Amino acid sequence: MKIEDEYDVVVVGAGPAGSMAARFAAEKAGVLVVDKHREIGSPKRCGEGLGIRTFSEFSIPVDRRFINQDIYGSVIYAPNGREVSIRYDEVMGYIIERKIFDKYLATEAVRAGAAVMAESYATLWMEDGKLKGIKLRRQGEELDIRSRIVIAADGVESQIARQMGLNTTVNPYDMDSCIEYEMCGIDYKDMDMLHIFLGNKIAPRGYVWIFPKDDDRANVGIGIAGDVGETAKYYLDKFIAEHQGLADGSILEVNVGSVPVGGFLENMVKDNLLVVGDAARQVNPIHGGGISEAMHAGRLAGTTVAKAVKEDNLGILGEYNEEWWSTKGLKLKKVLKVRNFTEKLDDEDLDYLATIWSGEDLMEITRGNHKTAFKKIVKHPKLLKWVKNFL
Amino acid sequence: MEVENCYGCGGCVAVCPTGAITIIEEVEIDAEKCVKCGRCELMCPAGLIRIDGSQR
Ligand SMILES: Cc1cc2nc3c(=O)[nH]c(=O)nc-3n(C[C@H](O)[C@H](O)[C@H](O)COP(=O)(O)OP(=O)(O)OC[C@H]3O[C@@H](n4cnc5c(N)ncnc54)[C@H](O)[C@@H]3O)c2cc1C
Ligand code: SF4
Ligand code: SF4
Repeated sequence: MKIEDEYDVVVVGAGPAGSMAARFAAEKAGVLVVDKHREIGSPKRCGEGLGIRTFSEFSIPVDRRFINQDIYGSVIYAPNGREVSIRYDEVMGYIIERKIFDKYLATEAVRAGAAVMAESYATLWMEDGKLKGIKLRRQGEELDIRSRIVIAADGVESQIARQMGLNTTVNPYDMDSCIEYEMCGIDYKDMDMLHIFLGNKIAPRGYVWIFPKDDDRANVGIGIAGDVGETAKYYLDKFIAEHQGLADGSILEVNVGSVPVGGFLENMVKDNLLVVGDAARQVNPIHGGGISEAMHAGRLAGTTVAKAVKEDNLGILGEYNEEWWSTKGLKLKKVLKVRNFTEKLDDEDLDYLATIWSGEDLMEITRGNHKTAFKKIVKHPKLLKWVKNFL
Repeated sequence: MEVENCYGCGGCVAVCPTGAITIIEEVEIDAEKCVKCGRCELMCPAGLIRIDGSQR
């Protein structure tokens, strides 16, 4: 493939956000997607859990090439070990194979007409304060690529937006610091459920997850608040050592990552630049999932860009902001409010909540519908005081 | 400055207030831009970064 000197749109980053944006922009515009990694989708840096709704919302086939395990529900473990579980009769989500899933999304972008180039590192090309395109470094060469619009889909680093003057710096307090092992030869119950372990001694202001990929294989990972003294690795190794059935497991893969869970980039459009996905901090603040959010934002940004190019009116790019904050973004803001509550909880509070909340309550909370669950808090003076602000 | 055994996850880049860190293949910290705030040390999930004289 020959990289042209000029495109209507350049997308930086071929994760779920970038590939979706490219696919929808390509309907009306000439699009190039670049990614610095040698292989799209790798390393995975992900628990690989994805709800079934995302599949229908984006017409993604249930293709066993990127689906490892059917998931029927989840078990949440309070610090004292008490379990709150919810199991559905039907599949409610999947553990996917991100390396293949991300490649599938990139493939769909190519089929829609976009060009994709891996192993290509981008910085913004600015002249006199104006966005000209990107500067690309690939295999020792440097290329200047002109483009009318740039979509920053560069994930948690979010340096493209920063180069445009948007402040994407995150406080460690608002980041989850994560490490995950893909383990095999493990012996754990209910390998068709997600397992989530809470507790400030287990994972300060975060959780440990076991996301099964097979009957004896799972992603075992942890996210803790980014400002905690000990490392995520310290806590995960401790957890595994203390759990029979995990301690003897083999490690097939080690991944490290960070998730911006504490708040969003409010303004995601500046001149001819749009920011999507983790780069815009579009992550569910309770559980840290961001694949679906990234895909939603990517589709919205891509559609807006296609319209702008077709109408030859870049003045409408701001519609992406407006549309996001009145739909998916609005929901996420509600979830963030609940996070402000949950991150204050100590182990005793969590143990108490595990006695009054059902699995259904917890599911609704992660969706931003917390009222029913919060109304159940009646006999706990300290929590009652906090909860008052939410009802 | 370089960081040994880095996973390239980008956490340190996201929290650095001055844009001193870049990852092309490996992490590189630009000593001239670094203000030694120590946020990257705190953030790294594997505890790999040591900044000489950081305020942490
Ligand atoms: C440990 C962990 C577990 C997680 N588990 C889940 C889960 O189970 N379910 C879920 O829904 N979400 C999960 N997430 C979150 C999810 O992985 C992200 O929200 C999602 O990947 C965001 O997609 P994105 O397209 O915005 O960014 P990314 O997928 O990060 O893609 C960004 C891309 O940009 C590229 N890039 C960056 N800078 C440049 C540059 N300068 N030039 C060129 N390319 C560049 C990168 O190489 C990368 O490929 C998890 C995250 C972590 C860290
Ligand atoms: S110490 Fe602070 S300024 Fe220096 S690299 Fe780390 S985060 Fe950036
Ligand atoms: S946070 Fe640690 S592992 Fe991640 S890129 Fe920075 S130095 Fe590497």
